Amino acid sequence: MDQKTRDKLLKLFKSKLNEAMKFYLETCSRCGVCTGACHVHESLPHVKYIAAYRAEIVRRIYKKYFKGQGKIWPSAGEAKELTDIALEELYEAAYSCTGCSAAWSIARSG
Amino acid sequence: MQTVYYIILVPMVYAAFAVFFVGTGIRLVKLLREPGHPATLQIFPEKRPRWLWALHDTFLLPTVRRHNPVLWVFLMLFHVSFLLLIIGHVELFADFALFQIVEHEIFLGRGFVGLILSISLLFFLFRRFVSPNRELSVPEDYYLLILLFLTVLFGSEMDWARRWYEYGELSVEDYREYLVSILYLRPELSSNRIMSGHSFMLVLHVFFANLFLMFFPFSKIMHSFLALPMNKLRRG
Repeated sequence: MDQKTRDKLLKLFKSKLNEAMKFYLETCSRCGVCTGACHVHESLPHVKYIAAYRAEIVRRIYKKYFKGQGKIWPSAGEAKELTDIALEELYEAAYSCTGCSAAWSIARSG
Repeated sequence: MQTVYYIILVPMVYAAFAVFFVGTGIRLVKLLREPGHPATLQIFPEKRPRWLWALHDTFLLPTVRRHNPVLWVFLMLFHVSFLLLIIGHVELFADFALFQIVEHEIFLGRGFVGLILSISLLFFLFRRFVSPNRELSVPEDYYLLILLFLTVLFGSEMDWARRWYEYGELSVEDYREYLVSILYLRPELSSNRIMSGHSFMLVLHVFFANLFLMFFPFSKIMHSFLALPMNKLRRG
């Protein structure tokens, strides 16, 4: 991915970071309670279909570019650069989610 | 060694609290200044008053109780014990009649609060070694749990030593003297505090607590402040 595309995508990412989105990204404690909520994961029991994991794919990019921790100590939160591979993971996470909100209704804090 | 003890018990404490208050304050102000979501994110059927239901969701974790009762028991034990420990630390500064409604010796819980907290933290840590929680976890999750466990363990050991093994060299008055001197910016370390047999527990407890406080604003522990507004979003 060239720098121009990355900048463009990050600008788009930033434009989506409103209060609710940031609450969402900051409060998850990766407890895994939402694991059984996703019907996609129930049918295809792979970690990548757990709601918290899907969110983590987005969160790792958020940490890398928009959070102090990701700049100072990226390995602590596995902050990830926006690359073609990361983009593939994002596609998979987004398009395998039906947006039914079951995970959100079960999560204890987001 | 005394210099190391002094650095941990005085300047590092100030640095930790400065990072904690400034970092948390800045992060919260920045978050709350972000624009709101254009549409409602209410997900549950409407129940009023909404803020009361948001409090209910935040502190009683009803969805966790339904979907993972074992985790819920440990989460409740952990959070209630943590609250009791905070009260215990506040009581180290001065006597508060409010907290003595149920008369007790400082700390609350006769040493069992620390024990419950330690066991809960070990449960949280070890459940992360098992799939799928292992794949969901990032290093931060382990660091925080280990840091908290060490803080609680050394803090509790001081309590256990006094309560269970009648080790009276460091008393509640000693801790109070130290904490009040720190609070009023006149740090004072008596030789008893840094030379007694188990002063290393105090130093290690304060050291790990300092690290935890410094990590707090940059970690997922921010959910302590953000879980309530998050739940309010879900309640509309």
